[in-house]
Amino acid sequence: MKASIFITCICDMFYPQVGEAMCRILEHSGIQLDFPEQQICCGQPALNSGQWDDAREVGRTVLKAFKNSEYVVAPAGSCISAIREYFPVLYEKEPGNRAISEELSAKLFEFSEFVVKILKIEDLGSTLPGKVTYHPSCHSSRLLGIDPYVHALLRNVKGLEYIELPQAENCCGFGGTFSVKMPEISEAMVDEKVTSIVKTRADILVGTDMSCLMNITGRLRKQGSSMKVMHIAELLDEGMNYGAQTRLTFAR
Amino acid sequence: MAIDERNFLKTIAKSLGRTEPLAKAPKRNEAGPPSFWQEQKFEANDPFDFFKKNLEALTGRVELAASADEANRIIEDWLRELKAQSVIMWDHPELKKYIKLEMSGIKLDYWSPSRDENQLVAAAEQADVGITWADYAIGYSGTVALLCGPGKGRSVSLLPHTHIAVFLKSNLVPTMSSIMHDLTRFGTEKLPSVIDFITGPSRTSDIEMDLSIGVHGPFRVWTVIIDDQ
Amino acid sequence: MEHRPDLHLRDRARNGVQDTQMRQAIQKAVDRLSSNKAKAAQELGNWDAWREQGKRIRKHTIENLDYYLAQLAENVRKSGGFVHFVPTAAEARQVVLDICKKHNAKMVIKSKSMVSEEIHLNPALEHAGIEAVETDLAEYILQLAGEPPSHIIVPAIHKNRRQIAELFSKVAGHPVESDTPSLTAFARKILRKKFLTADVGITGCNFAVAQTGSVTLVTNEGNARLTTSLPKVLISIMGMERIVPTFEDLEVLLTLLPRSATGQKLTSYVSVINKTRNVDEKDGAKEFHLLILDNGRSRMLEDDEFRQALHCIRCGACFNVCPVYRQIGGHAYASVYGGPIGSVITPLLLNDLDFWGELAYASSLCAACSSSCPVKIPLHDLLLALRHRRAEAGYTPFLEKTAFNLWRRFFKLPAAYKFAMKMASIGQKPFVTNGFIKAGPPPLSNWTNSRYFPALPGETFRDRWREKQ
Repeated sequence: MKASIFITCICDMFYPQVGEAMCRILEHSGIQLDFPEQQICCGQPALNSGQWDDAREVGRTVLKAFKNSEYVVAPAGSCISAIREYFPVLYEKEPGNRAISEELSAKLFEFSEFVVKILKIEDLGSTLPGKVTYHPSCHSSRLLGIDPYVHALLRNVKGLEYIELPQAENCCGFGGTFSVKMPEISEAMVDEKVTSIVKTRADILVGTDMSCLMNITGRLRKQGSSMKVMHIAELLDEGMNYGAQTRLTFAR
Repeated sequence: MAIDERNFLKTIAKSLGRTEPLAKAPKRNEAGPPSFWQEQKFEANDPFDFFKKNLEALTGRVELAASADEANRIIEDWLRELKAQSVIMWDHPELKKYIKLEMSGIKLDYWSPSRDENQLVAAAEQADVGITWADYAIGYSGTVALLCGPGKGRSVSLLPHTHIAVFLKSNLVPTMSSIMHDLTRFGTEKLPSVIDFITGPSRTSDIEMDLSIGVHGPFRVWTVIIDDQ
Repeated sequence: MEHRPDLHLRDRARNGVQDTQMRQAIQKAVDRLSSNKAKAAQELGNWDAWREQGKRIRKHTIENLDYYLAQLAENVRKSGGFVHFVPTAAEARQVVLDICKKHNAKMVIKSKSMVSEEIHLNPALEHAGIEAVETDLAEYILQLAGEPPSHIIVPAIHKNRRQIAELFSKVAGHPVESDTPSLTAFARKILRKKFLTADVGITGCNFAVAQTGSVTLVTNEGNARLTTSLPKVLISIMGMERIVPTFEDLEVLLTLLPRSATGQKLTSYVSVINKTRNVDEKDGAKEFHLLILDNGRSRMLEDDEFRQALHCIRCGACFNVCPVYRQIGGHAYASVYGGPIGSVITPLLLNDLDFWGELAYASSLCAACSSSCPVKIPLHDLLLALRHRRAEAGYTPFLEKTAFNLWRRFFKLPAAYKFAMKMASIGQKPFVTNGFIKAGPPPLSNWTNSRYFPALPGETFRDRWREKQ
């Protein structure tokens, strides 16, 4: 099986190790990966600010990149929901691009969804002792419905104790440009989120979107917390190499 | 049709992409509750238990009376318990058939169509207990449905501190659907001036989300169901 | 003209965030209400099927609003009521004043009605020398405090019992205890006198029923029943979209609304008022006026997308799950209609994408509102659509427009993007400690004031991928 990596701009820029972890897991599962270089960003920041001409132009990098892919896998749900829900609207007046975005939507998957739903794998042989709590990113959870896949994967990590995050469904306050346009509101939201995370006394916070995790980590660290924050791919990858001394712990 | 109405509706029609307001009834695929709601069987065997459980959860009281005499006794006991000194009752043949409270010690008023309305409101305002009939009672929510009319004043179930509703077991319906169905069959002209669906006492959580019972309406809704089955 | 607050959204929001007491009160309230709703939906079962049916009924009604309003008016008139079609708030106020004048009204009692606040009715009544008394407990508290509501269902939630006791004590002329029973008893006593002597009763309308000319009021306190039972004249004001075709349809909305608002199967009182009192009845209004208000709604009808916002049944469920509302409170929206639904309809009703259009940004687009709406209004989509309209209308701030312009130039071509990453990696160096930027220049400071920002690691994923090959 062949799949293309859609790295998403945040992971490309700030968290390449998340992409690497994802690649290791997929290759280990027998997938032949490629990385079409034309991809840059789905355009969501501009989309959410109403600047749709800018969004359209940047979004075309994604439409171009995956034209010939059989599957496309991304370590983020938010970008996928932007493509699925809004590309048809963005490219309403460009029938060619509209058709491409519909094709792309059908073969585009968030990482945990791809592993569980398409590869039908729930147990990657990971072992990671510790307490974990999960922040369900809004778009991934509500619009893509990927929570069951994440839970299926976490359940099979040996030694991992799952702690439910109270009021997990409350948004972390990132919302893209919202975090800098309405910073006071965003701060209040991330503060409430971090307070409830810290109260779980978990060792690890896991999530599916680095955008949210970037926001939450930023607040955690400023508050002096050293709780580990991991993307689900990083957690599974570290677990698959548990015992091997070559893994770096994630100092982030 | 007045000019203001015509212009108003024309504006709407234009907004909806029409040149003239729609005059013919639009086709509808499905109206009313989802089909599974009509097909669901609700405690078909014991509508009384259903109603009792739901109204009691709202602090209501529900008693089943085997006869008119027993119904009377239950109400007299309640009046004693409440230390009630005055009662106002619907002047309604069905209610009066079962409930006869002409007894000493209690001031009893009937909401009679022949009396002066100001006197009636004053009597209801001063009464400790208001007693009405209920044409329907809904098991699913613990609701009594009062169809108002001559002799059946709104004030009786509204102004006193306690509202007692009396009805027959056969008036119990599982959901509001049966009532809506009947009301539709009545036709607009035959509808009562108001239908009051009453589900438990008056309440609010406006003060710091702290539940308060008996804000403007009654503190207590107690029901006597006469077993006619 | 709608009163515009002095402060812009961001400042109003900041004030809200800084009011810790209000935030705690709001959070306690919305958590309770949303939890009650979840329980009630679970108990009913098939909640999504009910929502779908509610959506169908509202969609059908709004798409045929001209037909159903005409049917409603005809049936109200047949039953002896008066119908007034009022295009604007000013005309609505005038109709109410004329009715009050005709009956020499000195005092009117009101049950909770957001639409009456939308048209600024109370100041007009007061100006005409008519005492207007709010009888809903929360609205009464707000009237005494001179404040607007902060939530659709629990409007005075931002007030604590001490504040309420203070307000009541002023009215009483002696101290009123701040425990709930004492506060409630005081309000009951004071307002009961008003109910018994009012000349005119004014209500809103939860749902008018077109087939029968009925007005339905869904309440818990009993004040709406008193308002419609005791005064001789009754005026009901409805936003023109608050209508259902038949009693069967009404049942669906009565199944959705109380559960969504408070978690109840039914409110204590659902009054279906079909007509004025019959000739032998001794209570109930003798004269009934229905005001059907447009005030900008027909403009919303024009647009396929925004038309959906007219499906709203004013349950408040979106408020109760909104992660922004719980931090800023209702007053930050500065509109009669706050929360997610208010952020959509306020700029549209007021036809102002510039100032009021800012409300579209009081959101992280998390879609909790859309998920909770009992009639499936896609609120987060509508907020995004509003942002687009606003940008198209040219109201995006210059700096933001420039920023996206720049961003576009670097993000549309791989070579430009790589160049930008290289430059940023170098440029960030003076600001980086331990892998983070802890204090940045504006606009990054909007982030770093409250959070660390990650430093670029120096190599992008695509750099590493290429190295691996």
